[in-house]
Amino acid sequence: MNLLSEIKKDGKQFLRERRTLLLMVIAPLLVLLIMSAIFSGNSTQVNTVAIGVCDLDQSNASQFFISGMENSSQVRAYSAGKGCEALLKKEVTEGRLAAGIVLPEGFEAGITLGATQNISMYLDNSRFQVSPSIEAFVKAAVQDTDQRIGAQFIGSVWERLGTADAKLAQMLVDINNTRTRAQDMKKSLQKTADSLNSLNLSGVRNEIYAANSTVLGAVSSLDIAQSNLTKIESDFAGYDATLNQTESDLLGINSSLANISGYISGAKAGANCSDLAFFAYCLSIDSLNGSVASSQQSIELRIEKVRAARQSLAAANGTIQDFKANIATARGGASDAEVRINNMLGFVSQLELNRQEALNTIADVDASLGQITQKTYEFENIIADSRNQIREITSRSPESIISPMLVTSNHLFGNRPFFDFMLPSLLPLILMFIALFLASTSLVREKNSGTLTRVYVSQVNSFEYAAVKVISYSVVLLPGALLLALVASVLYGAFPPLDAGAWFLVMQALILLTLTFVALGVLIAVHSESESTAFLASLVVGLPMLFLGGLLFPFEFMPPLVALCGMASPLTQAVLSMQAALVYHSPQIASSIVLLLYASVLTLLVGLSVKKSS
Amino acid sequence: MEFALEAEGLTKVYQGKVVLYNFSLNIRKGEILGLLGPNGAGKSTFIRIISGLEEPDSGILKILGERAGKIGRRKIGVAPQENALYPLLTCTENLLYFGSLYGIGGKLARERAAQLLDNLGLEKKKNVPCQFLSGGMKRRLNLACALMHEPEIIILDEPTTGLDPATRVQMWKTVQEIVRKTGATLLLTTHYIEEAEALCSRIAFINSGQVVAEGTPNELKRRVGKELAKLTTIPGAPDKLIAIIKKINGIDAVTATEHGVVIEGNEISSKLPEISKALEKSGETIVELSLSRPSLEDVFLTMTGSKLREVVAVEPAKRN
Repeated sequence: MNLLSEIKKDGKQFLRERRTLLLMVIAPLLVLLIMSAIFSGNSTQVNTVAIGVCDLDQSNASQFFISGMENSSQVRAYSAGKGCEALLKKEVTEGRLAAGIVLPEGFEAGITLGATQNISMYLDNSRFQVSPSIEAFVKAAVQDTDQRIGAQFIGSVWERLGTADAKLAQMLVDINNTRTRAQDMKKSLQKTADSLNSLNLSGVRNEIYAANSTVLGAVSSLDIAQSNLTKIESDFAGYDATLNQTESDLLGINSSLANISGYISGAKAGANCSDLAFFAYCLSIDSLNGSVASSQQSIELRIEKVRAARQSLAAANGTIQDFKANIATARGGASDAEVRINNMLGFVSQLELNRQEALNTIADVDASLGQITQKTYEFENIIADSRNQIREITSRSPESIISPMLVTSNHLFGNRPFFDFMLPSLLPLILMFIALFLASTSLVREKNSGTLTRVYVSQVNSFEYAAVKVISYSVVLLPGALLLALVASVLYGAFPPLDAGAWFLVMQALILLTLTFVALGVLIAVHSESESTAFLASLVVGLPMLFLGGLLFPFEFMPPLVALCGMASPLTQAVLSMQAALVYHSPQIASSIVLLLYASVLTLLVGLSVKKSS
Repeated sequence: MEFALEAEGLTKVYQGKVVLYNFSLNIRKGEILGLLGPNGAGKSTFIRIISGLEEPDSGILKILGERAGKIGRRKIGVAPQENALYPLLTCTENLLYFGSLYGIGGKLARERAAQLLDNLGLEKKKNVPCQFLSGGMKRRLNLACALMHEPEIIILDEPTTGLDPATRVQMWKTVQEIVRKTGATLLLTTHYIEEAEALCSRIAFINSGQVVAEGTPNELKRRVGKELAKLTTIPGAPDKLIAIIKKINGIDAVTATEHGVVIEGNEISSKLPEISKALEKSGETIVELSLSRPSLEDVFLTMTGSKLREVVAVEPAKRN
């Protein structure tokens, strides 16, 4: 089967068929024009919807609320009376009003008292396209009024905070004075402490200690002297005793010697000294007796001497006793001095204690003053913080407190009309219907005219036929796709006309889309008996894709499974591909692959169906 | 004997309904075979099987001596009952497109298309979109499209249905001319007995999916009855007439009527000159002669018990 012949044949058929040409060229342009007119705006604000208001309060607050709404919509006021709310509800129920609002009596008074006011709104939610916008609009108006009231309240709070700030400023001055006074006191205390510290009590004490030491030294010397005297006295007593003993001994010796002399004399008397034999004896006795007598003399001398010594000792002892009496007198004076010195030491100690206490007190006071000074700083900081916080708080506008968050939308793609963003969806959509309708109805016409039978009779391979047919119709539809892209580029500025990259992305998306939906159209045709059946089947296939494509109803609002089906739809993939080309300027490879896959699978199915039906 | 088509025991069942049953038919190379039968007899199914649009449930089909396959079937040219043409394309464009299906393109295709248009009297209409052609022209173009690849077997499915008698006759001539020029085998289905008689060297009657009779038209007619010639003469002595006519060979029976005789024989029409001469010699002048012979309709009635034309009569003529 010759692809070129098929393309030539289909191209001529389409070109010579006026209706087909209209469908291919005029209809898409017309649709684009209509859609661009419809979606030329870029706002979703409610501005032409009539909203009824029943103002039962007739107050400044209620009028303010109503005037706020009047700026953005058509507000129809109803005379406040008994039946006003019922009338409003009736108007909404019967479709003459899109929404009705009832401002209750005591609206302003309640707000002033801080009581939440309940505004009733009757909404015609059968107008599902606009009712959410109306509801949002009314809520925005309420929020606007809320902001105004809140801002007034916060303004008064700000004033009070300003007064508090002024008082805090005065407090800062007072605190500063207090600190200055405390610091002066500290200085005075320091001077006093320095004076106290400069008192050399230890020097006094040392001097007293020295005096005491001197006294003690004197006492000690006296004690030593007394001790020495006592010792001397004792020694003297010992000497005396010894002398006495010696005297006694000498006396004893003398007595003994007397006895001995007696004995000797007796011995001599008993001996015949005249006898020579006794002579020697008597001589010895005489000698001895002489010795004894000598000794007795010596002893007696000595006794004398001992007695003289004893007398000297007794005299010395008397002197010693005098000394000792003098020493005792001196010790008595020293004891007095010692007592006085101790008294002086006690006085100095007391003085030191008193000074220490005074210094401690001064230190305590100083510490307290330090703490007070520290506290003044802390107070200052606290007050400064408080003032800063007050200034920080009061520096914010009451409006920013009511609405702390303000959304600043940065429209990355500019403030363009909706149509610019619909174009990437519209082009595939239009092309989808053209491809579906033309492919399905044209092929059914061929089937019914018998020409297709003739093709089958030529024993063409069914898959080859499917591929050739899909490509042929796609090629024939290509100028239509090209025209759409050209119009989108030149008339609507969807992409620069000389941007080869954009052209490539757009055309690859449109070509893959065309291939896919032509294949689908051919598949429909293979299973359709008449053109009307094919047309209806194309609608049945195309319309769900339109609704699932996210153009009329966003995916985000669909149930997950339906959204998944929508995403899987070839139209959606084509739309994604076009969005990538026209809006994001980046190739959507995944979508291209999916479309190619769809086209291939559908072509295979066409082949299978042709094989079966032929 | 070489056959262009050989069908043996073909059976085709559609949704429990037997459309062809043990259908056997051989078509000789170069002959024109007419396939006659009422609607639903199985003609179209047989043609669809030959064309490769259907596969038989059983049986064998051979094309030019080979089991039917894609290659064999590409040697067949089918002109369907409807004018299978692209109305917005010109005659030449239609021919070129259908030629391209068989791989014929370029100069060869253009030459062949021009030749066919010339042969079929459409030369002047070659650049006219075929939606503007008359019914007869469309039929001829429909036929031409089937001939672009110079098929060895041509199948014409009711080629003159819906045409006026003059156009129909013109179409017959065209078909005969093509067969003469190409030497192709032609299988023709038709409802028209006269068309079959005019064009076909052989005819096959089919009914209820089976071939009920086949042969040349005369062979078929002979199977159901003899020709009758009714003569009225002056002076018109029956006995004399009977005696004279009985002497002529090929006369099976002669019976007397009030003013003449009725002659019965297989090929009476061919004997009429001889009979006329004999009667003139004997002084009898033929004043009225009527010849009646069994029609193919009679053949079909005899073979099937139902009339072919009754069935045809209810079918509306197809117009393009």
